[in-house]
Amino acid sequence: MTDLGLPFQRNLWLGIGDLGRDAARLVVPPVAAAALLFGGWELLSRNGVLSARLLPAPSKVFETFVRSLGVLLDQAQPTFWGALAGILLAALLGIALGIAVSYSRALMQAVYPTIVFFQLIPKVALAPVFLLWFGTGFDANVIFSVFIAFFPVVVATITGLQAAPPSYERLCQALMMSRFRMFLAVKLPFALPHIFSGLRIGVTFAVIGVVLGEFITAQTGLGYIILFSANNFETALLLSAILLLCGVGMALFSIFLALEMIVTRFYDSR
Amino acid sequence: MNANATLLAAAEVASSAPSPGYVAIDQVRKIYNAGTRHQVEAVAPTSFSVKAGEFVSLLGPSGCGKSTLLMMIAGLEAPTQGSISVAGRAMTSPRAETGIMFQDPTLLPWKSALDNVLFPFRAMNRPVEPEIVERASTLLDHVGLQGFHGHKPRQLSGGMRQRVAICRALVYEPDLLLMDEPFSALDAITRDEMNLVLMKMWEEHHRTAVFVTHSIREAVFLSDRVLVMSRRPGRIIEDVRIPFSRPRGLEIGETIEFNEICGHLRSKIEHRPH
Ligand SMILES: Nc1ncnc2c1ncn2[C@@H]1O[C@H](COP(=O)(O)OP(=O)(O)O)[C@@H](O)[C@H]1O
Ligand SMILES: [Mg+2]
Repeated sequence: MTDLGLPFQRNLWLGIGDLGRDAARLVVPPVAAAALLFGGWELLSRNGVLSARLLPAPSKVFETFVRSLGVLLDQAQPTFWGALAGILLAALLGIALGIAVSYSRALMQAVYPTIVFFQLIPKVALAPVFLLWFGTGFDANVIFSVFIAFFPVVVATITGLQAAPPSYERLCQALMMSRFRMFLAVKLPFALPHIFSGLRIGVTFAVIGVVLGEFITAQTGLGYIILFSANNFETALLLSAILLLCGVGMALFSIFLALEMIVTRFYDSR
Repeated sequence: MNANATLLAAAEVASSAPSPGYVAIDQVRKIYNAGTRHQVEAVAPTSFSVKAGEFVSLLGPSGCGKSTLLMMIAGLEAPTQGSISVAGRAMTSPRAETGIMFQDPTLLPWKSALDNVLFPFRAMNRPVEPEIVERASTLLDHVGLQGFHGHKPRQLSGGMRQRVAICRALVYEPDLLLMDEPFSALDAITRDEMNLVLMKMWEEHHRTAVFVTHSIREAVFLSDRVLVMSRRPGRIIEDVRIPFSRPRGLEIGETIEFNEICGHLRSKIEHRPH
């Protein structure tokens, strides 16, 4: 067909073409890479190159996942609720301590070095100590989870409360605002993006905390299933449990992401 | 003639004794971190006064103590020595009748232009009645922000943000307007525009104003009086009356008189030797 010189039409088609090409550029490479990985894995497992005991085929894992879904979902409950309780308590304590430290120079000097110190030590090493102190129940896992998830939240809150430029403080003082009103109207909204990024790290830490606790207390939860199936060479079950654990982590992460999106709609401090 | 001089002297005493100006700075000195290793004398003992309705600029090199002096007038910093009174009352803490502007517009990013203008009412816990909203809208219209009342600061240019800040400083009808280099971060063309906007608003509202700047032309254009400060520790070393009648337009900047005044002020400013 001859070009009738209809730029509108041509641009429209070009536009759709661009859109399609952009989407393809985004979607095709990761999908292709994943297909290659899982396809290769499946092939190698079927040919017996990979030992079924060590690394069963993806199809086998999926089959086990579906078959054991009941048990897995049962065991996912304490892990999910434990991690949720962990991050919520860590958020409460972390934000409260962050605020307290930001408003008291004495507290800042007394507590901040300790916080930094605790951030540096590998907290995994302390899990057995927590077991000793708090027993082997659900609470012990939650407490350990809080302990791990707490630090990123405190640090983010302290950083966030310094985010409002000093001139805003001057303005608030000139308008004779109380420190409390200044906190609510200016400091806290400016701190929110920092606090939420602290919470995002905290969520993943809370899941790690609960699973570690389950490894050690070995009573219930996906962590326990992972430990148990590894000991019994039930690798397909192990991988299924890990898959569900990813799901738990993603569910918790999405909850906080949604909360963040709602809050930053009202307090967008860009 | 002698009698005349006596009369004048008497008038001076009469006018300076009971009400020594709307803003009266009396032997004010500021030393930061006094008594420590980090002690800095920012303002040397200084006295001056600003009459009601007068527009006065503080002009001086960077770091000479202009902001410090302004913050003391705002009641945000306490003088180390001396005293400051505004409208006859000694300044010990901020007062509700002072409007303030900084180099940074200090707008809340999550609030619209209109809500930012209304912020002082919320801050001071005063009711926002419909006539207050009306007043805020009118102010925004007068600084040329028709159609931008609902825009967020990030959707506004730097000059527009400072226009919002002007409205916010005026909305609660302060009797004193303090401005700390409000246009220093703007480009030269926007700065001229802002000077015109500020001039117009000031002519409409006629508040007493203290304006800090390190731009000689800006000071001369806006002010009734320009006070030149020495290098740190700052003190007033020159007090120049600017004779141009109001309303003023940017074209006065082209006159010989304007440029002579600028030249005189420039000669007084102590530049750091290289
Ligand atoms: N809070 C403070 N603590 C210590 N020194 C200060 C403080 N604020 C200002 N200074 C010092 O006081 C001097 C005058 O500062 P400032 O009033 O901001 O000057 P200007 O506004 O004229 O540039 C500078 O040397 C500055 O470093
Ligand atoms: Mg300054």
